[in-house]
Amino acid sequence: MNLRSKKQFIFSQKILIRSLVFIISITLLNLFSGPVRNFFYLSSSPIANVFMGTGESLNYFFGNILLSKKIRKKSDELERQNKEIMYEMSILKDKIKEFNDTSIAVENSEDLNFSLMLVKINGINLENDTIGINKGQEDGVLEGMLLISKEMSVYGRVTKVFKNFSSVLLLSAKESTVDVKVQPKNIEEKTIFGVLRGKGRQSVYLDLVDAELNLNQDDLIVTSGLEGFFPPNLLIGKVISVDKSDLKPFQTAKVEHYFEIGNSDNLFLIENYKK
Amino acid sequence: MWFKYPLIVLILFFATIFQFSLLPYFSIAGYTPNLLFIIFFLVIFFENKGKYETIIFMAFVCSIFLDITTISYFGISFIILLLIFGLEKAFSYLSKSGQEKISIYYFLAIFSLFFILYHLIGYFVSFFFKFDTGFSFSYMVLIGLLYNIIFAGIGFYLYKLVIYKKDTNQLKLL
Repeated sequence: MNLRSKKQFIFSQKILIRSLVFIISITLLNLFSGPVRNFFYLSSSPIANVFMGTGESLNYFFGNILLSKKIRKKSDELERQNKEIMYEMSILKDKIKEFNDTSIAVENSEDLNFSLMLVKINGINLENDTIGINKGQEDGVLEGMLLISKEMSVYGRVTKVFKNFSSVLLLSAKESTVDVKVQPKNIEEKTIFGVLRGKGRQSVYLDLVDAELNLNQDDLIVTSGLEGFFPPNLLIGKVISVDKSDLKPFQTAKVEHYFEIGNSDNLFLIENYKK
Repeated sequence: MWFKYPLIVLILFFATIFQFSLLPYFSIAGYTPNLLFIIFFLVIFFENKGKYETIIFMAFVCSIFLDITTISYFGISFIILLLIFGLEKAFSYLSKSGQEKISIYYFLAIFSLFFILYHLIGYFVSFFFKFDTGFSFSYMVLIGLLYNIIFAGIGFYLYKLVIYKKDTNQLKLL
């Protein structure tokens, strides 16, 4: 074998060996995907927490440049109180409706039938509308658990559970669909049912609402509980604009959701919800 | 330089944490700068000859970090990044760009083209193979592009100042 062909042989051997190494590595990574991701989370979370704290502070700092500190504080407080009131009103409206229909006894607020698990966000991926939380299999997290804020606004659902952390699919993800209802301002009006779908990049919209029903701007959207997976009357958002056409059997609406990635310190997973 | 490979892993590790813990607080229309792609593109743009081993290693490590954070299969981003590398080399060869074409305008134009191509390829992969790669493609990608261009421009100058100049000075000494 002359020198040139020997060099070519060695070169092709190198390429073959390196290709095999890459293929084997990728296969092993896919086979042990859970432990690999868990290890990445454990090694990166101390630094990620520092960056997230910095991110929240900077976000707040730049927000304060536009609004004065006092107004910002007051605005945050009012917004929190507003959401608490909206949640209570949403429950009250249903209660009044049931009482008027005289079909079943009024439920009290202790009868919500679920407990809450405190979690924190440890990673945000806006490309596929997912967030990571700091609890996993070891803490009793299960797929399908709902993530909410302390004001009872829905963030999303747990889709993947690893040993020490879990991945939550936000309501704005394209694969996300949730059965919802629209609380009309006038309790005499009929409750409107629909489906909330994600559009990606933190936007959502309301779909499959009967075209003959009246959707209005600022109508409150809450979970309907019809699926049975999670409780009714949890806050989703409000209607911004309605898209109605005589040619279509359903109307849709743009929705401003209530989950805020930048302002989410403590969140909760709903455990053992009983319908 | 034996520590080149661990250094690449370390830099990309910190870039990943930075991208997924700090930058989401400054997202625009749901887009954040893709630091991993920017770093990878800077390397393939500036490295003209013979450093294919480093580039392939870098593509591999970048892809692991990209796939870890998107909860998709490992290896998808590796294939996409290798495609981008191959296409960029083919483009450079056909346009016959040499040392004299390392200007910011040329770099940003090529970066924009390959950024859109990167999203397009990712979108087609998820469309044809029917699994979520985390890629989407719409006119909003242009907003993401504008945001990424700012960081790419900063990266261009940093790379040129710190790494590229050092390499060309070493060549002059030889």
